[in-house]
Amino acid sequence: MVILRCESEGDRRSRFVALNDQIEALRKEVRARQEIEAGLADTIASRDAFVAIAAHELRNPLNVFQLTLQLLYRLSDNSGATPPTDIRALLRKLKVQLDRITSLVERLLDVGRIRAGMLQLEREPLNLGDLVKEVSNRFLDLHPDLALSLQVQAEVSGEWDRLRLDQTISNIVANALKYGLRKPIEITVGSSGDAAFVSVKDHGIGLKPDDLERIFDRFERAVPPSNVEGLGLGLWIAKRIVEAHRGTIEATGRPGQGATFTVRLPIA
Amino acid sequence: MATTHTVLVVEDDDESRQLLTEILELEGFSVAAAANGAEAWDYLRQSDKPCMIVLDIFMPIMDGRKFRSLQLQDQKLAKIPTIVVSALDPSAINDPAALKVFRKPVDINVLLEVVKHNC
Repeated sequence: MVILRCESEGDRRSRFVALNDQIEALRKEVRARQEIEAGLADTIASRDAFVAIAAHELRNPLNVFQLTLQLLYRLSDNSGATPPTDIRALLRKLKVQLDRITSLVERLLDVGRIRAGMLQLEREPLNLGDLVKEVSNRFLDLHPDLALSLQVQAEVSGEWDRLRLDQTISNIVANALKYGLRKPIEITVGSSGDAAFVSVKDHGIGLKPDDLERIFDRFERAVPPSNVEGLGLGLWIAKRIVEAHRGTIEATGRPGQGATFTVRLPIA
Repeated sequence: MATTHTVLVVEDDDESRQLLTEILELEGFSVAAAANGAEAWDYLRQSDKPCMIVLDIFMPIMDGRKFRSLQLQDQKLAKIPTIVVSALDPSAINDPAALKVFRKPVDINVLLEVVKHNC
């Protein structure tokens, strides 16, 4: 036996009105969310634009700073008398700090550039071993006590962007220095199949499984920001540069057992 | 128009212009300094040709781009090697005729190498 539920005209009307009200409420909610999303996108775009303008505006005072420092170097060289060693040491300290500020400004600009899809590569024939040697020598100049070793397994050349790869490798080595607990850092350059590789291995705090992907995100670190200086942009920028070369960057490691970062670049 | 060992520095920022002038003079170059493109253009029309121009882009009165467009229209002046030094990203400068494009803050040693090579 089938019992048919008889619905009066009034019931149907009420149900129809209730449904209409629900649909209208949902539409309102969708509109409200769309407005919030648009607002957030505007806020992010404004923030990126602000950062880009601020970084750009910092270049002129930085330029004056650099030129002043260079002039001081030259005047101390030309003065005839040997300048006191501590003045030279102070000048060197100023130079190191200035280079750090310049590098931070560069990173802020890179964020805007990468987000806007404007990261352009200037490829040129490049010997990867030579480039990595330059980077490692620079680190050794700045940190004479650093136990940094370089092994070039094979001469490998390709068409890559010299400055961007220098930046990538520098960011990775700086990361190893930051988290490496002053233990040895080993850099290896070689090739495997159609790819060149650079690996940077440290013996520091290591990485948790969750960190392996997350550390390549913007403003991310393997430890709380208060523990380590910097903007948390180095590896994010490194990954974008490597990807622009159609290469890959990978992190491996375990907590307390150091970390290895490997960049692979297509040779052809 | 004879070519001299003078470097023409075109930069609106007083500090940067003076410092660059002093460094170039310490390295033995003679320097003519201009605070904008118009001053630099006047200098080029009235004086012997400099061996090199070091040019900023964002400047009041006449900016570096306008100056370059005038310079490149003049057959003799177009040949003066020109280094562009700007706070802008080099990819935004778009001056294929420039000898070099450097970004501020400039590495003075690299800039001096280029100047020494051409002057």
